[in-house]
Amino acid sequence: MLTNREQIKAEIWLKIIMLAFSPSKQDDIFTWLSCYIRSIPKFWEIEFSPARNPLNATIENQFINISYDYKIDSLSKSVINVFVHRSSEKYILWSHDIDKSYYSLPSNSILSMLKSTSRNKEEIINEEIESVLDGLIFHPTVHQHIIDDNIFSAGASISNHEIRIGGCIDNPFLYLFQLRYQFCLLGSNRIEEKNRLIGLFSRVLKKKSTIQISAGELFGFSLSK
Amino acid sequence: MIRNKDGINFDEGIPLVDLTEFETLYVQCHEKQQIEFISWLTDSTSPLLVGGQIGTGKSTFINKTFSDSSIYPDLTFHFDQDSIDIFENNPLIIIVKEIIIKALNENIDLSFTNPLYELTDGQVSDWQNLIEIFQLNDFSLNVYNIKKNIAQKLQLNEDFVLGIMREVISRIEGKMGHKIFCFASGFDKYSKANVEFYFLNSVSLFLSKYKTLFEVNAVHIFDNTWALKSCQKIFLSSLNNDIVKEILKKRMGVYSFSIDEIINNLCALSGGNLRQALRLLTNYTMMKYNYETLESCLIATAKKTSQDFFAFASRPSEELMKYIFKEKIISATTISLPGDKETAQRSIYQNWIFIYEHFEGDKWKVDLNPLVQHLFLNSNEITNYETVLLNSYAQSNQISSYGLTFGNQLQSKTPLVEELKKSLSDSYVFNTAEILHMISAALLSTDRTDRIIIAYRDKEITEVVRDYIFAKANSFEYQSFFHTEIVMSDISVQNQLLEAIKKNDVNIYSFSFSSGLNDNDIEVVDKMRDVFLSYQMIWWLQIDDLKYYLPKWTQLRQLFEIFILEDELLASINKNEIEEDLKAYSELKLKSKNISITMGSLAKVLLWLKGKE
Repeated sequence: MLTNREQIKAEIWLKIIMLAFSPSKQDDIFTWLSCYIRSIPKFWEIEFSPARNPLNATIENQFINISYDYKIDSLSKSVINVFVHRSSEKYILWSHDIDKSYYSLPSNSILSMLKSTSRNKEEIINEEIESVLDGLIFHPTVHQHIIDDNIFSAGASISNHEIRIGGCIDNPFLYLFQLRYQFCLLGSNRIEEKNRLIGLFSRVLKKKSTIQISAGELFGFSLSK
Repeated sequence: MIRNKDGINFDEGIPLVDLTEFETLYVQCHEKQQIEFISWLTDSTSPLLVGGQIGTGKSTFINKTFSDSSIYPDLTFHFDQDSIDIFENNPLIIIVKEIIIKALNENIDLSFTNPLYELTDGQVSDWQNLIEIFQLNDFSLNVYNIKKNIAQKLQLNEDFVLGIMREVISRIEGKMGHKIFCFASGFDKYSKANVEFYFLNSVSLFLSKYKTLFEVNAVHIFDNTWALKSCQKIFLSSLNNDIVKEILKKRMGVYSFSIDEIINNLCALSGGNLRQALRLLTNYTMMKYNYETLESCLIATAKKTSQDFFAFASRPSEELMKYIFKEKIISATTISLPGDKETAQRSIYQNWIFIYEHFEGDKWKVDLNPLVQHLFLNSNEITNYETVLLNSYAQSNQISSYGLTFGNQLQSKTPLVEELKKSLSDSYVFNTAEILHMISAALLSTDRTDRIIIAYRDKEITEVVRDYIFAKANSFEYQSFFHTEIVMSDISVQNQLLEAIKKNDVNIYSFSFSSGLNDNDIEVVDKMRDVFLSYQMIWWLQIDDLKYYLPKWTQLRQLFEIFILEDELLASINKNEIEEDLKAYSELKLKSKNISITMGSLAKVLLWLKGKE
């Protein structure tokens, strides 16, 4: 049986995915991906030309020889390919496929079956949000490290061990979001981003809002009121 | 400027300005120069030139020193605008605008003078109104014409306007309780060959009466022909590879590890020039995925960077480049040779060569820009460039020894040098004649297809020089020449010019305007710009006339280069050389009672030079 606090965190987990990583209409997907791409140069502090078509773009960080592309048909069907570059050659490191036509645990349904505990908004505390965001983005519970010294050589400010690619993420937008975070080599930007997201979700969740967070707000283009 | 804190900061050509930028990206260099600069900032009341080649970090050096010393200018003039607004491109207007704004901010009472209404035919009522017009952001043709008219009117009365500005500054100083400190930024963007540079001269002279910091190019530092030649100078040389390396690493931030393999090569190719280093880095990162090996990428990077900087640049002379490559030294005198368009000034201004450090006397350590080295290393070597330039330039261009006649304008002359050699038993070669020879070679090179205005103060001296140049020009078998005086007569100036061009099929047209032009002629001539495009021309104008014409020649002035005759003469010869020539001339007079017309002319030049030195 879930404890009260475990249940709160589980609800936070699902709400964050629903509010920030579940654009469904084509326009919303386009906007989400546009903001995603545009946020990367500032977050990674690199020179980067925004893609003309956000629906089918390649994100490239030539300074760490990594790039990735994606094809998102829907929340249930998508693929994200991650590459490493060696001179003019490009090798695929892995391909993250999401295909929900196969069975997966229906987390939402299970949670709603549980008896909802009556709580007021003060009961959600930032530590819980931080803990959930850690599991979703910053330090995914199940993750892989890239063991290749040619990619992040000895001089890099962040070691291979600090780059944690989330493993069993079945939401393509969340997967892209955590790639954005994990491929950021700037320690201070990682900390700022973490604090920003904790603050953002804290405000939204405490308001018990069910309106999706705008992509601009999610990627830090606008100030939350 | 928003910079990345720890990531990539390529932003080539944008100087560092504030504390955050210095903390993130600044690397200590030019330490001695900074000490000298701070000492000037704290103690001096005279002007100072801070100069270096394009991309050496002049603006950043200046900003950093301001920041370190906490001493900032009271007035800053930006002369590097390339604006659609006619006011922002006019040096005099820039000066007036900043001084008046400062005066108004300091609540200085300007009612002691209000010549604007009269000067501008009622278009401007007072100083406040002038500032309002300055600040108009209306780009309509009407506003453009109003501004153009005001600019011309002020320019035509430049001396008077500057006189008023002097008084205004004096009142500002009184109010502030200290001598004013001015910063003339952006002089470095003006090539000496650019006519606009001419407009800076009177403004430079005006500012040189105050504690003014001039930001200039290296060619201005070494130039001994312009208004600021005697000022204190600080030269910022190209840097060593270690400093460039540190700068590139800072620009790469946390990603610097990714260029470990290539950074030494990039530094070597940069030649110590920061802007070039940054461009190399940018091109490398852009192209790194296009090539199989690091070597092939490096070659492509060098090629692309050299295309970026030199694809449309005019190449300096092969001889100079080969000489530099061999000797690695250049003398300051070489840099300011008269009419030096093809040689040293171009090579420095356009970064074909880089100046490193002072060697001894007037010699400086230099080297070819590594990106263009390969273009110059295949032909025969030249052993002594100065000798070649000074003594053999004309001969190497197949100039025969003897002059010819042309038209009925001039008498046949034996070239001066030859005559002098014959007259003196020890074959003394007059320094003055050599300089005239060089000016001739520079102005009449067959490589030139452009138009020159020779501005002069002394008509007599000009005639001697012109005679000499013409005699020299006619020694080119293939270079025909036509000279005529454009006079005020029943035939319009326009028709005189067109007729001269139509009737004489020659290589070079020379027109003298010693009797001046009226306002209508000035306007008509300006509209003939396109007619002159395909002709090589030399126009001879009194300097005072030129001052009056140029503000009105908005079209024509883009077509011409200006050559101030007396300045070039004075800059090329020193007092000892003149004394030597005078002594030789006296000996010659003692030996031969019949001094030729040519020799008599030379004597005039010598005496004039002596009087000016």
